[in-house]
Amino acid sequence: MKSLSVLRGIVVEVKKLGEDRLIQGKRWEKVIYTVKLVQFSKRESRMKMSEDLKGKEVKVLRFAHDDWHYKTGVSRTLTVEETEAVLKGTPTETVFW
Amino acid sequence: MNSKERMIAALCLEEPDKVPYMDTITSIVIKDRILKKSSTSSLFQTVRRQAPSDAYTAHMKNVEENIAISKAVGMDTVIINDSECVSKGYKYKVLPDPQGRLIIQDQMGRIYLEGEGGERWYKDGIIKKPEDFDNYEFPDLEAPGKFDVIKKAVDLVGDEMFIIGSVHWGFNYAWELVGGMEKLFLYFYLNPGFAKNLLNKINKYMVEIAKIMMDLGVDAIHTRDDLAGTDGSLFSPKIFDEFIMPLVHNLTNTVKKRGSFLVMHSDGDLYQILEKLIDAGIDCFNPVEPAVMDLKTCKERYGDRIALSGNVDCATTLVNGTPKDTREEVKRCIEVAAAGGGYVLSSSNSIYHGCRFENYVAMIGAKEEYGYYPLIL
Repeated sequence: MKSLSVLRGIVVEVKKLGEDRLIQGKRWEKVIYTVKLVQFSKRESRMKMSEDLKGKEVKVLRFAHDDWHYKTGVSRTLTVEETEAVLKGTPTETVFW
Repeated sequence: MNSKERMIAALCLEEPDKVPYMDTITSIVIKDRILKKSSTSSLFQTVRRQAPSDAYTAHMKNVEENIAISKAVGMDTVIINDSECVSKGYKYKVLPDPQGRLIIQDQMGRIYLEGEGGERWYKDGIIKKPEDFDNYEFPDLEAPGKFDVIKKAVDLVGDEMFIIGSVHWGFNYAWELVGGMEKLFLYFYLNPGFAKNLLNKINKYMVEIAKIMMDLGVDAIHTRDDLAGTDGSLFSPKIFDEFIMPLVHNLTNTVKKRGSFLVMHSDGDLYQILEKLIDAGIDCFNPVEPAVMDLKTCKERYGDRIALSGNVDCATTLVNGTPKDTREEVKRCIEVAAAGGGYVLSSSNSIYHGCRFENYVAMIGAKEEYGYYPLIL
């Protein structure tokens, strides 16, 4: 069974890429979050992050709209696919380093 | 994400696709306007309807109505209380009242009066003296149909919505059975043996109910005992540790052993006792009463360990404010607590008869307007 456990980290930087998309009447802005990995989600308490991943900074691509999307110092969750990519060391379109 | 996945992500302190929403709507007026017909799912309407049938049949119909309301307002949860779990043929006892008011006694022996807006107001309990509890019999958990409301909710929306079974630690039931909170507090000091016996037996019964609910497929257990008032904990630290915390540990351990979630509701200022409740293993604290608890402070202090839910003020904003005030309140809650995950939108208690429909509509609208997390395309 595919693990649902996902990595979480803290946003240390938000970089605006100057590219917008209109989605359901709202303008969403393409951004790259620099996320310092902290731990796995509490969903799967047995999953411990390896020492070499702790504190690793990854870039996560998202579209932001509301003010609270631009906060630093808050948690950001990677998707299952992004988590697998980080664990395998294989960058993807939405997570890279 | 569907509603179930959204709630699970939030309770796991992950970012869902949008802020999930959980609430209890008790206002008949608001229910009617959502459904665009006369709703029937309040306790007293259930009592009125039991004449041609019974409370079991009425509650089974109410499940459908509550699910319809939840879906109509974009709620991610369906909450079913233990008091809605009645056996086939059960009827609430209607007590005589010289003033002609509708007064009922429920299956546990708690007596309610129909209050303003058709909501229930606590009146009394059947344990008048400690000896009465010697002959007290809890409703039979194996009675035919007892948990059919849970089965029905799971059958209808168990794959898509987050189903919550609501019980008590034991404190609320205890004071409701003995005739009021002040009476139970006196027993803490004057007859602690009786108080402990009462609390522990109710707690044990509640744990059994929670186990059955989890076996039937609910996603979380919810407790709804108020443990604090606006001036802090209702208990001294000694009384809290001695009488209440064992109840908390017993239920929480049972829920955690089964890998389920525990969502705790308590009005009031819980700063003095929340750390202990978090250490015991609760997953979510609701409703972060805005008059006495600051959502931002709670997020900073507890947000890495538990999810928070609530804080949209149903004592002021939803009652006396405007739709604009309500939208701003929802926006504030989301800005303060939703970033990074771990927040479930909710009113600061319930959507009761005092809340303005227009404000509730504004709350639902604001949830959709401000509640989306950064998108992945």
